[in-house]
Amino acid sequence: MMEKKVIYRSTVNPNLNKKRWLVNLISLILLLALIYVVFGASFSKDIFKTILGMNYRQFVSIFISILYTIILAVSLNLSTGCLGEMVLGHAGFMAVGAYAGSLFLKYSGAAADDNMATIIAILIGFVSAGIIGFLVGMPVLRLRGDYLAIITLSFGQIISTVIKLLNFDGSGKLTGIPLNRNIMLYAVIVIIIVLVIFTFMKSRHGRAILSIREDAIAAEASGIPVTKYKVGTFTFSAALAGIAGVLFAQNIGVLQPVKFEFNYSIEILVIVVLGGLGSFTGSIVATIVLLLLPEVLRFLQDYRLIIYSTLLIIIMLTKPNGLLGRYEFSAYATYKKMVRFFKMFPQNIKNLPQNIKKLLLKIKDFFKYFGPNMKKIFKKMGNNIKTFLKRGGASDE
Amino acid sequence: MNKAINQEEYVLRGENLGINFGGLKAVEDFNITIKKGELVGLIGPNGAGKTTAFNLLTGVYKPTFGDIYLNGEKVTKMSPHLRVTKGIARTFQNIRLFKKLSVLDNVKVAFNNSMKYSPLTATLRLPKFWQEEQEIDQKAKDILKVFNLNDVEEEYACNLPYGKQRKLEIARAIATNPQIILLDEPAAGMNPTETEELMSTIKLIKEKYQVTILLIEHDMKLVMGICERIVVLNYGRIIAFGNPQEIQSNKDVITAYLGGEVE
Repeated sequence: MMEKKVIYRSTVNPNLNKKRWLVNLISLILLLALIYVVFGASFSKDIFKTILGMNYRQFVSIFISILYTIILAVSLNLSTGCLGEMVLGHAGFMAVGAYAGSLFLKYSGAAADDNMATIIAILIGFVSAGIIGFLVGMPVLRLRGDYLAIITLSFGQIISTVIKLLNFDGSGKLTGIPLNRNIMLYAVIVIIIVLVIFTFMKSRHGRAILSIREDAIAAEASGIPVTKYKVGTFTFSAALAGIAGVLFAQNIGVLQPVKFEFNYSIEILVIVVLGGLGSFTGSIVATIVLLLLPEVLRFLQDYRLIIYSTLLIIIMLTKPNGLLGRYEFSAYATYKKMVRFFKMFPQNIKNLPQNIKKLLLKIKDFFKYFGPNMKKIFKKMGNNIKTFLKRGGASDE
Repeated sequence: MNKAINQEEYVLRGENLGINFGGLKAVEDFNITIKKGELVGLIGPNGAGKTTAFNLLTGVYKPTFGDIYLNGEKVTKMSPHLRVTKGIARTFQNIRLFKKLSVLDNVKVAFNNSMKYSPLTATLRLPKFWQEEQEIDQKAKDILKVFNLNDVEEEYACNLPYGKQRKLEIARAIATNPQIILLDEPAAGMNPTETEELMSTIKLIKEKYQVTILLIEHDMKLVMGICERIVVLNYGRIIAFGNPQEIQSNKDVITAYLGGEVE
């Protein structure tokens, strides 16, 4: 009988290995160091020019757009993937944050690259988008059903129209926002946000939110204040989109209401679905892939968008649950896998000649199963076809 | 004075409960008093309004008429999750588990009310978080052990066989620390062996957790076997109540189930 391997599926394991903290901390520091070496350091400009032959400023701009899109995708994943409420106007909340933060930056006379002003603007964007999110979510989320999708869809359109009508600069655009392209600051902000969402979801509150996604009526019958959690999560998600808006504004310096229309909301939703609903690391991976793809495919010129869309379709067909499904990448698990690999390495090398012995035909436990559970039952019976057939596939449960 | 005595006497009381869906009177004049430690059965033909009565008692529907008392406290206008904190728990006719959560998580969700730590404590991973999570982990595992589910605690709930899913639903209801638990057709779709097992499970939780039980069931062997008192519902009205022997010989009940003589 094979040793039964238990996969841990629960949200919180209170008896965690202490080593995990250390490994996570070290990998975090390594990540920040990597970003610093590639983008932040004074010598990195030369690296880009001499080694890669690329335009440094353009690359920084793309990297910042990846950073704020990560915030957008992760926060949308919180309300769509974890809470299970379809949100079609996430860019609208981003617009609220972007305009609130930018108006503050412009009229307070903040200088470019002023990190303190950026942090205050981020707080303003966070709070204002949160307030608007609360006002939108409060009446809708009391109802059961998919009303939120329609309401947020129209909210996104209303916001961009309202901004057009308010006409802040007289020209339809808001210009003259002080730029700040401090990559290290943004990277730290993104890491903090992702960490907060991660730890938040791996707690009793996260468990309650997941239970609402699975079955709101049963959650209510188990004593979960469903409306409170729904409104709270939605508000938090909208507020985070506001932060992304401020980063966006400080990266570009010009705001146009057209940017925040329906198309952009769908673009974020595509990232979330592609990364896997409910998987935050999936959202991050999908953001990086989807934002770099158009750049990488630039040599294809006009055919770029066709290839891009085709690739999207292929990914969705082969991975219908998204790139990572509900799986979360864990630094500790990877570390453990690597340790196991290196421990087994000498043995694997020794067994290599046997493994590739010449065989004409060998059938070992050849098996075709229908339905997802058959494979599991088969494995439980020690991967032995004889016992399996004897039991007629009936599990011992 | 009078009220204090009443408080000890009953756990759940419905007074003249009624609900109308448009012109349909789904439940009418529904009076029920359940004493502490009782095991009461609610039976009736299909469409008699049994589940509607359950939904009224647990707060899914708001009654058009009447009042509901839980331990002497009026809970008529309370929302379902608040009623859970007052000590009422339920299971569903068509199993409602959190399918893509682990079995352990399914039970832990029900402990949410007894946990206190804030979102901030959770994100900062303060000692209080670990302490409470450890406590709940132990409690949830203890409950799963009682229901013989401890060997599948890391499975997804949807991967469990039918009988175990039913058990898990009852385990989840028990985890809310209820005084009364409402079981909606717990034996539906079960084979005789599973029903036997369920009967012993119900008896076990009644003794171990000191809960009062109200159950809807069509399986007469189960109802007559374990219920101390039975309430019969037809067309939204109570037509009979009493112990199993009385119910079996009641004329109205036989008419409701088998039809009466043609005049």
